[in-house]
Amino acid sequence: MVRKLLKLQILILALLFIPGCWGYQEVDESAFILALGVDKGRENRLNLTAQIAVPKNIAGGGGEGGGAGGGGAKSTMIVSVEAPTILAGLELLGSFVERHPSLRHTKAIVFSSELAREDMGRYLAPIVRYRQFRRNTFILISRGKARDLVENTQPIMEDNPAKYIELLVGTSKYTGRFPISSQVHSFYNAAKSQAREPVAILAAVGGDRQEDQVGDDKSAGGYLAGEIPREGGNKIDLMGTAVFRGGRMVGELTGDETTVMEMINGKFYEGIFSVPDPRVPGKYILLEVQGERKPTVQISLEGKVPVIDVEVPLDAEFLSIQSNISYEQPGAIGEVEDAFARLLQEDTAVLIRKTQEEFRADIFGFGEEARKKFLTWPQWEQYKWLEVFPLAQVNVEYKINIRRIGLLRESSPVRES
Amino acid sequence: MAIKNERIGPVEAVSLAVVFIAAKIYLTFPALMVSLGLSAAWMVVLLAVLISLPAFLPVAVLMDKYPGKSIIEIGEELVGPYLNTVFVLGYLAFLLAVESMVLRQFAERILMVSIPDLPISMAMSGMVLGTVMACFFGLEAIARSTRISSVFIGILLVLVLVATSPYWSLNNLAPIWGPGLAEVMGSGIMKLSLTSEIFLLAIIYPSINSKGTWNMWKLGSHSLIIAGLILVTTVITFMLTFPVMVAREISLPTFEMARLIYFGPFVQRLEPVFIPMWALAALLKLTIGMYAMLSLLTGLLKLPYYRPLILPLAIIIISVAFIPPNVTTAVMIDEGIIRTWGWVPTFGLPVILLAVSIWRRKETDSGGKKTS
Repeated sequence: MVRKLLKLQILILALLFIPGCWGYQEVDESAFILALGVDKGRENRLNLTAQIAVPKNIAGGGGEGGGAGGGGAKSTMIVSVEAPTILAGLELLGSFVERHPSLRHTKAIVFSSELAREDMGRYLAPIVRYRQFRRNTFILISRGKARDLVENTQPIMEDNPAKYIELLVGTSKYTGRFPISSQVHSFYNAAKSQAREPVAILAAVGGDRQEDQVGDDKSAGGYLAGEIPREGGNKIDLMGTAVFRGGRMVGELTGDETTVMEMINGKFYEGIFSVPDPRVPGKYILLEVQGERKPTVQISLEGKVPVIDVEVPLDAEFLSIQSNISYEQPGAIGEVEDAFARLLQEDTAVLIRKTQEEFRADIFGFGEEARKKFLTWPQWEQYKWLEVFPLAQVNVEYKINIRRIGLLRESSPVRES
Repeated sequence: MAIKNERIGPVEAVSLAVVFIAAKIYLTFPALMVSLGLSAAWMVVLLAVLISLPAFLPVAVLMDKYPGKSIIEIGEELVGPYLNTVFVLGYLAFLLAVESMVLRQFAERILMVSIPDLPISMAMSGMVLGTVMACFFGLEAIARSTRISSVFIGILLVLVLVATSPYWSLNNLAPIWGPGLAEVMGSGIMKLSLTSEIFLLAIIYPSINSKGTWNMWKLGSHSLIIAGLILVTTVITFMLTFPVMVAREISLPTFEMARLIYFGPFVQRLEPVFIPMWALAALLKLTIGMYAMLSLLTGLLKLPYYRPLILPLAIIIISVAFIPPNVTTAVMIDEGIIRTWGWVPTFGLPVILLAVSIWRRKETDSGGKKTS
């Protein structure tokens, strides 16, 4: 009996250690930062802007808890501080925020393009070591101040700004206009790699540019973030890609160029394309396109320069034929497939030239395919792929298959009045 | 409780050995292998496991020549009490080093990951307290708990490994030979000690109720193959998820993999699933190691019971665990010393014993009577 009591006492004592009494922190003692903006400050310092969740307003929900512009309580609080490093800035926040700042629920980290063009790597790499920071946090590059982007991250349809960020970033799966995997994980891996360069989502505050775009004949994805001709809705635009060499930003890609990049990377899921009608100028054929399989990449390193051959298979479905010509017929489908392939080839040529001549950055990860040609790591390192890539001959071929024709099996012209 | 009275089944014995060997996947082991073998890290581990099979064969042959006897009793019979004491101290040194460095690493990682304000002494004391309690209950309780827990640990481990598949890239395994074929082969041979914990079976062999169907070789080979599969699979999955330059930096590979899991808004942040599995594996490894040490000490000192030794041994383990000034030194000792030279007492000394046994047998056969 005594022994049993002794064992029980020891077990209870052990239980005291289990919750880690020394390290406990109540949930309402933490200030959860949902989005963190990093701008260049004065004198080699950083200007940090934190969007901190106000849980009672998020939980209150309904019409008031939402966010921007309404008369109700806001679901987040925006604070800014200047500090030499990100973590030092978080510590400073504790001086005037009544709760301890926490990165445990940070959904996005936003760097200004000004800072990104200097050297973002030296700020990002150290916080990966921090236990609160998660590698699946999204990275956004703001074309203006990161502070402006964070301040304007005010959801309308969501109560929870974290959910808003997550859903907004997730729309790339259906448009392909900005990179689908712009998490710290993929960015960090690419920044450390000798086989590819990192990319990140390009973002900006937008929403009131309708009147600026009169006469603009850009395609639907031919814009950068902040330039989309639109009015109303959330203030944040996500469109295009920020291209990096290592930890330094070297350029931008438009939405269309990003879509082509994703197709070549094998990360394109689906999107809608407006293909010029091959028979009737001025009219368009709308296709819903899906990435059918991963592209096949063949690399030859035998010549003086690498030769890269890429075949991208795509499935498509007719959404709309403005000219009402019966392109659904087997004989005519090929015309549309060829027209679409030509359209993509034009964009691809522009993209390849940009990446090789202007950015000198392998954002497609061809280096990872090339690495398979080597037997040992020292041989691979000696080849210096990232320096060789700008000289490579890149050939991209699109295999378009229009599989489905929508709910109309044939088209006939609308009667003219 | 007397060790001689405890009986466990062969499956439980295999579970003990597998957990004792494979629990290192929850520490820095995968990242260390990537540092060593680069893109061929999985080959280094596979080679080490394959080499451990013939390395274990002398141990198996030796134990089966003397059924019902532990390695201590066999050693005393073959080389005498004084030299055997040296051998047993060698086994003890290996186990003490493993126990203390594993305890230190697990405690430091718990602090690093979740409760940084907890004093390291409290973290280590808490873990050792659990180990002490388990040892009081005896081998049968430890073995049965391990057998049941290993199923849950295995399922959760598979979940963590498979759920990172969206991040996998086969290209991370290129170039195929990593630093070079010769380096990979050399590293694989040098890392034979990755599976040195299989020596546990030689210590607890008398307690294994083999029913005549499970000899030492069967027990050991099954344990090595299963544990090897776990080690290789974990390293491969880690390499598929993180490229070489990033993988070698990571302190807690399996934890980082668990943190990456993301299947939309509703299936993410699954590391709370991982931490109990991690803690349970740590506790089982420490318990098994401590029991093995108790068994050796009891045999060496010819004591009828091991319970009086539990608390003193626990204090010794904690004291040794405090010797490294920081976790990096503990990892360095584990990887650079234990995992490089651990094969000497665990595989090397039994070879000497087997050689003596064969020599004595020849003398007996040729002379017709035992010589001293």
